[in-house]
Amino acid sequence: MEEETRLELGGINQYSTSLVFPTNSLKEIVDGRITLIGPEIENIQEPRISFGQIIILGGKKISESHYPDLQRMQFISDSIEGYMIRSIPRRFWCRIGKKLIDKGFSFEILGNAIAYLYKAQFPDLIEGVEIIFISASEENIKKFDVVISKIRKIFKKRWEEKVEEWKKRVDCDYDWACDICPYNETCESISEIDEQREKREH
Amino acid sequence: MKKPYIIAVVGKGGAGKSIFSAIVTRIIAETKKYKLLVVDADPTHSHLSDLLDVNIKKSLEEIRTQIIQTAARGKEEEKKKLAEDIDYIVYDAITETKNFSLLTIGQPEGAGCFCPANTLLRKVVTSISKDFDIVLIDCEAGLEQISREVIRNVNTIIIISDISVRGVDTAKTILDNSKKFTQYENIGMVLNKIRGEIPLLLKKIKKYKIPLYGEIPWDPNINILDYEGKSIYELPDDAPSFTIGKIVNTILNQN
Repeated sequence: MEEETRLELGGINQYSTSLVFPTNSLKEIVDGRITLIGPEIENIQEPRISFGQIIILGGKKISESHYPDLQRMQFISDSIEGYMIRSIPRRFWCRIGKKLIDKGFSFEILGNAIAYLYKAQFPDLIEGVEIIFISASEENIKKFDVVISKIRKIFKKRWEEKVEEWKKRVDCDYDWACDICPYNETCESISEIDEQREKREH
Repeated sequence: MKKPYIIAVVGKGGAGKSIFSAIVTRIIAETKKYKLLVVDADPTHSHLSDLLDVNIKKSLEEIRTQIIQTAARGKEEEKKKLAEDIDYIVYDAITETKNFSLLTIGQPEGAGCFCPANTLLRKVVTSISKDFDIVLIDCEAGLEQISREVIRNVNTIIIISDISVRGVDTAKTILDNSKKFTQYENIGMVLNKIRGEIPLLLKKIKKYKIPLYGEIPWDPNINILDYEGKSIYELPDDAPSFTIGKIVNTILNQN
């Protein structure tokens, strides 16, 4: 894929941001609106740029339990040929192929595709989709990061709750598993039995 | 021969590890020359006891549960008593027959892996195994017990494979991992269920540099045994599987 790539958005050495923001308040969004801050694909000469993507989803029935599925949907890697997206939390990384750009692929087409896919995937849930792309510069994306930091905080809190939930699971396959394992005390107690046996043996 | 001489039987699922281990047990037991401890270390398919016609009293897993429960209650006196008694308790789980003894690991129940309990039991089993001349371990399929260093201090590793390319490829992976994670002295493979000529497979084994302990021909008696749930003592004396005797001799005389 790398040699066929014409444009890389975000990625390891670029600044990037990505957010899916579900809301129940439909008044706050204009369904179908795609806002581009910065140049359109055809006017970008560089092989890679900093990039931001914000997807706002409106639906009265959206609840917190839908968030993970809605978040995952943004990685629509296989849905558009020549458009490959990698899932990196809170950041963005995608590659657009030369052929796709030659055919006239634009942020407008991408935005419409994302909106279409969300509605197709969740027909009963999503009533409106609004998308903001930022291709202007790192500075511009950083300004958005300030605005969305409040939303991020909410997500972060939820993430932390999830980690707490994980801590209840027991899985020794991770190096840190013992630190958070609820049976830690029992294991220490077993080790004591082991030590006592050793003392007896030698 | 070192005492205890530890032999581990490993290989891909369905290659015939348990049947092989059972027949090896019978052959070694019948020599009446060795004190033999057989360990059924396959937690998912522990049917070595059926193949050897032995009734198991207790599995190691039950003792593990006992350790965990005692530790969880945390009463100092109980813990102290368990530390005193644990070797006896494990010894008691070994089923003794006239010519060999059998220890079954059993299937873990409940959540949590409680590694210290495994460490403790490993020490106890290691200590107990010193009372035996030969310890034969019928391992779980795949690489898990090798890479987790369950069988680190092993003298001989026998890799069982059928005549499939995948079986031989697995054998190669086991060979590589054994070099990394165990301190074996000898390693070799046994080709099982052989039917017809297998020149390409033998070429592959040679290319992989896997020593070959021997070959076991396809034995229709094994299928009947399997279907009818019989023990290996019901195999006819002329069963092709008894070519394993030659392999046993090779292994026991390699030092």
